[in-house]
Amino acid sequence: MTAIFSVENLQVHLFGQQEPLLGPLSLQCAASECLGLVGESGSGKSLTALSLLGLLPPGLQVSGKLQLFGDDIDFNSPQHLKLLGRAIAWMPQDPSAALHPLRTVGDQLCETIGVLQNINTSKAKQAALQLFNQLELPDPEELQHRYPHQLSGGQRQRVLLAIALAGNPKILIADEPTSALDPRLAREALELLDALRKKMRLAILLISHDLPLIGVYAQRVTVLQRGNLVESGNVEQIFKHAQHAYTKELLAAEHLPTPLPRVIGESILQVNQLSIRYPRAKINAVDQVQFDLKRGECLVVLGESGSGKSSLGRACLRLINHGVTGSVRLDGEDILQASRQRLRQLRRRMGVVFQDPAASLSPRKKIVDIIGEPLRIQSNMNAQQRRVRVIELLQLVGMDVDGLERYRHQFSGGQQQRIAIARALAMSPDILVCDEAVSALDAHHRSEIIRLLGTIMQTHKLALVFITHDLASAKALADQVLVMDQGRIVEQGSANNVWLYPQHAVTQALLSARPAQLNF
Amino acid sequence: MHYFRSFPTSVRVCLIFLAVLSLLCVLGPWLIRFDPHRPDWNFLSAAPSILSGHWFGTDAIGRDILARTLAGGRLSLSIGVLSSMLALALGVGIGAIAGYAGGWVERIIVRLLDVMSALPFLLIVILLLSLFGRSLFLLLAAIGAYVWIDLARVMRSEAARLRQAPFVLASIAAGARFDQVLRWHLLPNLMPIAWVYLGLILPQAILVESFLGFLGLSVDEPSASWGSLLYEGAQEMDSAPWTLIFPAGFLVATLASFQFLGDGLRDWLDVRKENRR
Repeated sequence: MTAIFSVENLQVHLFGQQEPLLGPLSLQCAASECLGLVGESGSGKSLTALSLLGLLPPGLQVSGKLQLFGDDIDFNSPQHLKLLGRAIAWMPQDPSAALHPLRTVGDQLCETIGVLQNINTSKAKQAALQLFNQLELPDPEELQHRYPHQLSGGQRQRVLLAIALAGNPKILIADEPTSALDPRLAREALELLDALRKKMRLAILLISHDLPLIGVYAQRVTVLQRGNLVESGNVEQIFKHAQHAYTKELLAAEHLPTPLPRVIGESILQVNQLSIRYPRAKINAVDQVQFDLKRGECLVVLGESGSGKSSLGRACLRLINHGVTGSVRLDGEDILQASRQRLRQLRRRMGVVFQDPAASLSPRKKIVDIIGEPLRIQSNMNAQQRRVRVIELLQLVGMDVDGLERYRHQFSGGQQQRIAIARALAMSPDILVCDEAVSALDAHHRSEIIRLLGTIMQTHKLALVFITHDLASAKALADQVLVMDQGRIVEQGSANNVWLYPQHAVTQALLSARPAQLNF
Repeated sequence: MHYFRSFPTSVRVCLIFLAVLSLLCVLGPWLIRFDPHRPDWNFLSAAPSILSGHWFGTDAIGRDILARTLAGGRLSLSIGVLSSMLALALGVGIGAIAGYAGGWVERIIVRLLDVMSALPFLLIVILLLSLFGRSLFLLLAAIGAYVWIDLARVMRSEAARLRQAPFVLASIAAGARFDQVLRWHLLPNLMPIAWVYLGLILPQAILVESFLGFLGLSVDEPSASWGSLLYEGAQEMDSAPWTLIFPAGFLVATLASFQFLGDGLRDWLDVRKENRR
């Protein structure tokens, strides 16, 4: 096997520092091979990609031996930069940020083709149409005149891919190509990459934090942790005989705990005919939803982004004030009708955890103040009593108490989410609403948080509303399932029934979204 | 001190210059043996000279220009600082309330801001000052009301963004009242931006004051502000140019350092944003 690109002893330093941020590590990739680069956020995956592309931000120094097509090439030399787009192409992570919002997608592709292949506009246009066709974009003639916001997420991703392929590269670096997508779209995108790899004999460097997903499409895998190479080898070897504890952890993360048998109490939350219509919207964001939740029970609200599941969660907490009709009864009392005064009292019985753990903690407050805030609002405790309670809560969510005086940026994403959970539990609520609470987390943090939620539900007789698009975490928690599509409930029932006998097409699509597990 | 070291050089130079200047203005009466108001009959329209003791020269009735420039600076700077503090309080308060409350409250306040910035404000100030006479309080209020509008806009959009931030939502979901959210979350996050903005407002306030002074609407003779000194200097420009040059130089240097300070601080905040939060 001859590698068409290889790099040895790749190291990235912060200017003037001894300790490298990345490396030393060696990678190689042959034609029509897919190399998976896996690790948590901050493990140096993107640094690797950027140094291979010669796009490292100023202040970083790269060293190592880079070989492309058998030639030695100096990092960041003119020779290296000239290859960019032509031989080695990059597909960025976020399709909505990477496309110019004010120009049509056809224009953007034509420009790139024109520059890279040095041909005139009309020829570039033809090439662009061809490329759109090749990437199975619907109706390319019409689509090329559209703006990025008029495309769906999956289509935008394809346009980005088209732009990356504009210079007929031999090497494609795809940086987290699926992280911004729903599971179904993610699988489609990866299938497409796989097909291209075979057809165009592309060497693909596929960067992701999701080892089990990568395993299906990559031939070889390299695992990174904190800038160091942990393990590398072909997929079968890694999946069957992982050597390093960290790799095992990444693999095990996929196997989420099965739901424990639960003690289910009396009914606590009844939602009836709940509809939400935002100002100036033509249709309801949430339409005629109803459910009944009992103590110690978990309701999973499953749906793709834009299906109205987050709106539903916020309406249940009365975080949306306008355009909500129907009733949300907490122990028989309608919180949608409660006076402001009464609502503030009722809020101590409801907790909420949001998706982005960093954004849900104030950057300017210490952890003790963040977790203590509900206590300060709802109780008469003094600072000393609050502190004692905060320590209790930190222990409950499994964190060290020496973090009390620190700020949020000194914690990892998983720890931040634990802190957010501790805050939500501060007043011992009856109901906890988790809005995509694990979607922003790395795989092994995700399973830890889910385990934690499962335990707390048991010990506190907590009713959990768990909003997610991720099937794996849904399966790990659900007693009841509610599947939403475009604001409407398309399927509702006990977890076992829904998982085993999905009735509606949307549910079936969601359930089949995840690629089949490897059968090693 | 810790912050001071991490500032870029331009910011440090400007800060030191402004500090020295304000110190000079405040301590002026003790440093200089001439009274800004008392004529020295031996030196009428005297040119700057070390020997006579009138380093910056004297004006037509023999008052020391250095003493008057420092006295003028004292007045101009204090009016500038006081009126920008007023603008800061107004801008942050009203902007934060508008942005956080949303709905019709926000719409009304934004419309009001639009109307106010559409009015020829200086003209109204001039009218008011000439109708009701020149009072220091009216002057402060007028300048403060002139410069707060932009700040309020910035604060409103920032507060509107914060309103949607999950940590604010979490606070509301925990049952926080309006004033608690305002005190605990909005103000701490708005103030850093407001302080940087102060670097833009302050020179603007000083400039407006000078402009009014130049029109003779700021303070009464024999008191001096930089604006009124410029006016007096312009009268004698042909015979005694130093009466114009020195106050003008001080004004320009002050405004320029505020400008550099604002630019420098903005860059500093921009670059360090990620690892400072």
